[in-house]
Formats: sequence, C-alpha cells, structure tokens
Amino acid sequence: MAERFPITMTVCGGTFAVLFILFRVIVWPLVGLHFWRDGLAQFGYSGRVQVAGMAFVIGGSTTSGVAPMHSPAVVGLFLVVKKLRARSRYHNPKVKTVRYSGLGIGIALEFGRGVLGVCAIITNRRVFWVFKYFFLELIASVLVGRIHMGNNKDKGCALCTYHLSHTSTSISIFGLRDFAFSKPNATAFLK
Amino acid sequence: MGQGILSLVTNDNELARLVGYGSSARVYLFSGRSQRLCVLQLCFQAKNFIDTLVHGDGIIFAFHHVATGALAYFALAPYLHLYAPFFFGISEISTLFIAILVNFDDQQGIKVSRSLITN
Repeated sequence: MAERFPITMTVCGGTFAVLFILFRVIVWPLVGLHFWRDGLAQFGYSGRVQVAGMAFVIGGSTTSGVAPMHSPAVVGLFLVVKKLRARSRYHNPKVKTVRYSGLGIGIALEFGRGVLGVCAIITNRRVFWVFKYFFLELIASVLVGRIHMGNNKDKGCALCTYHLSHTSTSISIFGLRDFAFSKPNATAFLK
Repeated sequence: MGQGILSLVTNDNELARLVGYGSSARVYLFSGRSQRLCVLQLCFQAKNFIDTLVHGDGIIFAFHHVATGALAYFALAPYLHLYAPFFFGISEISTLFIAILVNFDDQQGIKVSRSLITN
C-alpha cells in the first residue's frame, strides 16, 4: 500500500500529526483548564488554589510524559498546594475539608503512580508499568462514578476533573513523545 | 477561551446556552446531544476493547479502553456535558487519520501485489 499510494500515506500522516498536535496537545489543556476551574468552583472560589491545582495537573502530566520518574516535581507541587491550603484554611475554615478532599485524593493517586514508577524501573517488570499508567486511573474513574452518583457531588467533581485532565494530558504527551522519538516508522513519512 | 472554542465548533444552541451559565450549570446540567455522544463513545470503546482482545493489541490498550469507557459511562450521570463534544468528539478526529494510516503498514496493513504496483 505504501509503495502504491505514497502521496495518500503522506497526506494522511501529515494530517494526523497536525490534528494530534492541535487538539490533543494545544487545545486540550486549554479546555481542561476551564473544566478544572468549573469543578473547583463547586466548592467556593479560590483563585490561587485553582491555579495551583492546574499547575499540579499540567506539571505532573508533563513530567510523567517526559520522564517516567517524576516524583521530585510532584513533591514540589504538593508543597505549593499544601502551603496554599494552609492559607485558605485560615481565611475560610468552613469549606476547607470539602474543597480539598478531591485534590488530596488526586495527590495520593499521583504519589501512587510515582511509587509504582520507581518499582517498575528497579524491577523492570511490565506489571508495574501497567498498574502505574492505567490501573490507578481506572480506580479514579470508579471512585469518581461512585462518589459522583452518590450524595457527595463535590468530591466526585474534583476527582473527575483531576482524572480527566491528568490522564488525558498525560496520554497526549506520551503519544506525542512516542510519535516523535520512539517509533521511527510512524515518523518516516515526515522525513 | 476553551468554552469559546466549544461553542464555535459544536454549533449546538443547547450547549452554547450552557456556556453563559454559572459553573454549577456547566458541570451538572443535562444536554441531550452530549448524552448521545457519551453513549456513542461508550459503545465505541466497547468495540475497541473487543478488537484489542481479538487482535492481541496488549493489556495496556485493554486497560485504556476500559478506563475511557468508564469515563463515558460516568458522564451519563449527567456530568460535564458541556465538555463532552471536545473530549469525546473533536479530539477523536485525529483517530480517523491514524486508522487510515495503519492500512499502509507493512505487517498489519492491506497487502497489494507487486503486479499492481508495477502496473
């Protein structure tokens, strides 16, 4: 097929590359920023926390896409969020528990992914990679559904927001990295 | 900006109306078209999951399809219907071209005989 229709293959490959970068790498985080803000707004507005939350999601996703072991970046972002959380608690103690419960679970999931990444690198066993990238995200999905469809919409909202933005951005970055660097056949038509 | 993009590309009055509402409405209000999109995505992921098992794509892709299908299922609650057109529709446009592209693969693509190429 490639020898018979080389131009068609080039056009399809180029179109895929452009659309992938446009929608999954550039536009995705922009839309994700809005529903992240919508989700956290359910608990009361706090601009600093929303920005910190989005920085956490994008930062964690980017580092996990670029490097398998991203725990140092996660720890740094965790400290930022923790500091903002302490400040906000001082100003508005009544909403602190609900506002940060979803983010806290998200951070716990992120740490879980980091630990599994370390195990995967040390042991080089495939099972850890599978658990790291997908099992925790599946757990997040189930938690989101269970909590969201129950009485506590706030927790479900934050979890789903975390899950969607992190998973999707992470997968996008992974896809771009594989597309650009790890699969020579996929990029052959661009050369 | 993201919501502006959504309202432009969906051409859906129902969703465009949600853009101007508060965050609670944007998160929890129901949209019939988005609901349909979520159902289609759920069916698509179920089909992809079966394809993964039949063609032996690997356990990673199986988990991926289960996770994405779970998201589509939970979005039926309703949840985040305003954003469904992008995450379950627009972002999948590139999948169409990668699906065509795989036909050109030497191993998994369509085989064309040498006589056709030389002719």
